Amino acid sequence: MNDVLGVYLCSGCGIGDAIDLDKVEKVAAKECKAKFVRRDGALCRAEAVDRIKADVLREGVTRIVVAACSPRHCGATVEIDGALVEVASFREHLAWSHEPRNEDTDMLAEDMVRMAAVRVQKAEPLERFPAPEGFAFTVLVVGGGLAGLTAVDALARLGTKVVLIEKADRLGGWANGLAAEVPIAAPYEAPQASPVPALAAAVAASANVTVYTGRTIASIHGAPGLFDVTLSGGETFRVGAIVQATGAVPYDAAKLRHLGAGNPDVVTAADFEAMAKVGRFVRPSDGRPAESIVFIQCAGSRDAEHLPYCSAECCSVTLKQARVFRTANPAGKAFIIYKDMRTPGKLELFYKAAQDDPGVFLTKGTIAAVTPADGTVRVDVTDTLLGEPIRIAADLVVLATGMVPSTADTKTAPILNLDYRLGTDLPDTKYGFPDSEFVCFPYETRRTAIYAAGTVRHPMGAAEAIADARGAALKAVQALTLISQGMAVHPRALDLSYPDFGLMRCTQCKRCTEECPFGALDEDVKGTPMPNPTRCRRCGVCMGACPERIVSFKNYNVNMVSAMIKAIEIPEDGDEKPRILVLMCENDAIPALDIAGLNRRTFSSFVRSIPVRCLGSVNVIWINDSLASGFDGVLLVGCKHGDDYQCHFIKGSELAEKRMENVSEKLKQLALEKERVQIREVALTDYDRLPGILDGFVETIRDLGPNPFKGL
Amino acid sequence: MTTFRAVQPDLEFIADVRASGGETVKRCFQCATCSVVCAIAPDRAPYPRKEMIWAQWGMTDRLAGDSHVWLCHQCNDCSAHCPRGAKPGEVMGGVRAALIKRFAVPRVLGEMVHDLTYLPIVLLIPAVLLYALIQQFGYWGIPDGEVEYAKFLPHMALEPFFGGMFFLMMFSMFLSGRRFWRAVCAGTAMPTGEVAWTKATWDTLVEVLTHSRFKRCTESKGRFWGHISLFYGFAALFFVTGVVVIFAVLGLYPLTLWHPLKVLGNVAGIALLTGTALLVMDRADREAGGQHAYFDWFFLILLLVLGTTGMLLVYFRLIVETPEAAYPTYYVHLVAVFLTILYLPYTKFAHLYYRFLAMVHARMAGIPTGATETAIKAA
Repeated sequence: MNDVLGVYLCSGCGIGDAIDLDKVEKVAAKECKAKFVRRDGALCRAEAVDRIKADVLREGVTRIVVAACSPRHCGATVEIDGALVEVASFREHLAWSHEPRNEDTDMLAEDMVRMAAVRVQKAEPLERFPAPEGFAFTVLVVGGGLAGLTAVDALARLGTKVVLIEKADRLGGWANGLAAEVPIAAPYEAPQASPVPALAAAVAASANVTVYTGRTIASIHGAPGLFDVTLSGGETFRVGAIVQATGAVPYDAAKLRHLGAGNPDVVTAADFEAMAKVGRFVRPSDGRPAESIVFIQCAGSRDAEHLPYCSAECCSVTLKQARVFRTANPAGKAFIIYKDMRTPGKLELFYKAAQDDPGVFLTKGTIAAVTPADGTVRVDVTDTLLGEPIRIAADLVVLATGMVPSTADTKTAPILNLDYRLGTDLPDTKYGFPDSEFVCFPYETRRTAIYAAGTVRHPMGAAEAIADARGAALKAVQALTLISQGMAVHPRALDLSYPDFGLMRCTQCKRCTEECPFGALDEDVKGTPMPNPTRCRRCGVCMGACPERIVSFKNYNVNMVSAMIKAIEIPEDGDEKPRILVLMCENDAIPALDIAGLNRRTFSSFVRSIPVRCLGSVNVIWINDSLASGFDGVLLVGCKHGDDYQCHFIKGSELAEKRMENVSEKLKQLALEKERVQIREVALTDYDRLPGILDGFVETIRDLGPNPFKGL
Repeated sequence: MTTFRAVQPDLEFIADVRASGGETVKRCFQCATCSVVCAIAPDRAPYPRKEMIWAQWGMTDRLAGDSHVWLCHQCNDCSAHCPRGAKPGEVMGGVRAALIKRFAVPRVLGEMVHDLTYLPIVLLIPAVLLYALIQQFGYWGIPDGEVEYAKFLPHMALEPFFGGMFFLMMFSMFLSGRRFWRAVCAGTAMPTGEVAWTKATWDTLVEVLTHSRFKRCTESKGRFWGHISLFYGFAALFFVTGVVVIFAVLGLYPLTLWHPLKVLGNVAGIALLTGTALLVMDRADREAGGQHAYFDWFFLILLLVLGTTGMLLVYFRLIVETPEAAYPTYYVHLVAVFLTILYLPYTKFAHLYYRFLAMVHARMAGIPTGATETAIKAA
């Protein structure tokens, strides 16, 4: 290797005042063998960057270490053509967060340069992953309702080829049965016509769209860009990405006996919509016109016995139905008994307008009984806002039933029929909805290039479903654009690296294939992994899983991190100068540390932190290496896992936690305290807490005393 | 065993409330901000939150038996703070208007005064009665000589006619007041027996004279000054008129311009007009962009006509001495007096006794007169 290393130190922003940069220069030149070590008062200046570029061009520098501010806060020197760059965050992680002009701080500075130098020297230039043959840019949209049609329309207008599959014989979905739609446009005051017929016509007329009605999916083989689809009618074609907009179905009202289900004059919102569509509001029992109608909200929703969640749209649907009824019958009375009126977003205006109707009567209340009485349905309500329990003699009762996702039962009734080892369909997060973590990753799902949109994803109204479908359409286009160029998608969008498998040494243990959160690794009969690179998100979970350490990225691998660990200088005196290795997730923990530094929050100078792609990519060998080389403790800092996980790779931090159990065993064998290796969860917003977490761990280790293997 | 109240919304009542200033009634979503900000609502079961939903649901019986409707002085602190634009203060006014119509004896008069389409009949009744009276006992035309209104309608006809009518009005007031009292006792609370009706009445009278509760309104100081000016102007005019009737019977009439009674009457007339003008401005301001409350405007315009014609009578008689203008003005003034005094139980004026009775009832039933009363006393 004829790599030439250049180390560039910035002394601006107080770095030069806090750190003895002469010492750092010495380490860079002598230990790291840097050919050039240069210092500048502000490396972010164009002149300073030009000088680095000149070194690359004229002096043949191929590896660069920049010791300056965090690349998240200054991008001036992150990319230099012709060389690989590694940034040591001297400003946030060092000068602004440690005691200035201090021996321990200077030692940290030296170690940071050692680690960065090793990292950049061990890295290899990235090569674009070759685009697979037969890569398809067509998007498959499953479901021809409001969300599906909106997605198709958006895609077609972007010039993308789309295949639309609808299991019914005609397009339209749920909207086909509607008398009117909840308002989706300003002024949001009155029910409006559904946009679906116009959308269906536009979609049918588009040259970019192929429509299959009366079809379901028999199977989908392959990976993003290469999905081979077979329909129930035997049709086959290839698509690149998939948008699933299969919607939701109403909750089974027959289970709501306590709300009067079984009485013919107690109907569901869907039944009532059918009445509204033909404009005949009559009692099913005797055909008499219904003058007085009670709407019962949350019928089965927000109910531990039925659907524990809010179905989001029922309140607006009821308001719409009350309005449609009142318009048809100005003498009619519509009573609405709710738990809470929930009309998200602009629908509050609809609620307000519906309230203003003198014949609409609203109260919060608990339904005590719904019983037949003298040719009416008697509805008894307690806990009302009227100050006393009330009794309404209704001609008709309408149960506002909630939404059950169409994916609720994919185990017995698969929809996508994917041949992923993880299952035939999108995995669900809660209650059968294939939702995404909504704060950090809206629109994402856990299958690369397969997106859910509309009520299948989580309960929502028409306006939200339209926005959701457009979002999913854009995500599909984005995914195909990136993947076709060999790049990763969310959350490492644009990343050109990809895992190499040194299969010669594979022992077919199947850990990588089983642990990959995205099902990127199939197996052959023996259990050797068969990568589907276009499914891969570059998290490195396979790398963390592999006991043979045969998985590697060109710029991130087991040897590289092991070498970084070994490059750190371990002082003999473990009591005075302990060393703590912190493996920090790049997604939340490292940015949180940046913010802590920006806020001048200080933390122990005994900490040596190494960024990792995900805690799931942490190979246990690194912990062995660090304890063997004399580190007194190891801390893993990653994202929250569990029900409301924030792990960007879904289960990386959870896997790390599991692997820690094996580490504990190992520690026991070595007669080391298991407290020496621990794991912590932080979110970006925990930047204020993070220095305390680090200091607390350092204290724990000091209490335990130095690593007895130090110096051996 | 839970007892359930059978609910049957009274759509006509809701329509009445909406037509009389409460067009926003249905917008309330029961957050109870109104009850919290109200300076005069009692601590327990404060208004107007509960009245808002009763009105939304057309629960006429509930509202008829609710004394709180009348304890409200329409300060509109609640309307200013309502996050939903439901204007509870205005709605309470609308509820009172709708209730005045329902308590009225005979009910048909209540309905007529409430409805613009009946305005011609409402005006024709006094116009025709007074015309007949003048035809019979006075001179329907412009009498000769200096202006003396008795020439147009002699005291011997005027006083018995108005006296008789006044008695009928009092009887109607008594019947509707009794109906109201019973409803409130049944619907809100029975008198506890701890406070004698005499003391309750005396205390209420003091409160009315000092406007002590009205003073606590913070949003509409204009209404306070308007009302107190109108109140004392009207009371003084009522007193002066009563004394003048005695003077007239004793033959001491007419009085000169500078007679103390005359001066008091003129000052009171100006006070009445000023007060009414303030209230008119306040109402116009509150209704800006909204629907007009006919029931309120009827009474305000009536007071304006009453005050203006009253002042013009003096002007035409003593200052410019123009009989051609004086006698027609007198006729209009008599019609206005009739409408004000004798339609009292059917117009907004009826709040005079409903509110008085409600305040007496509140004292006898032990309903505190205001959440902040203790706080005010402490301050």
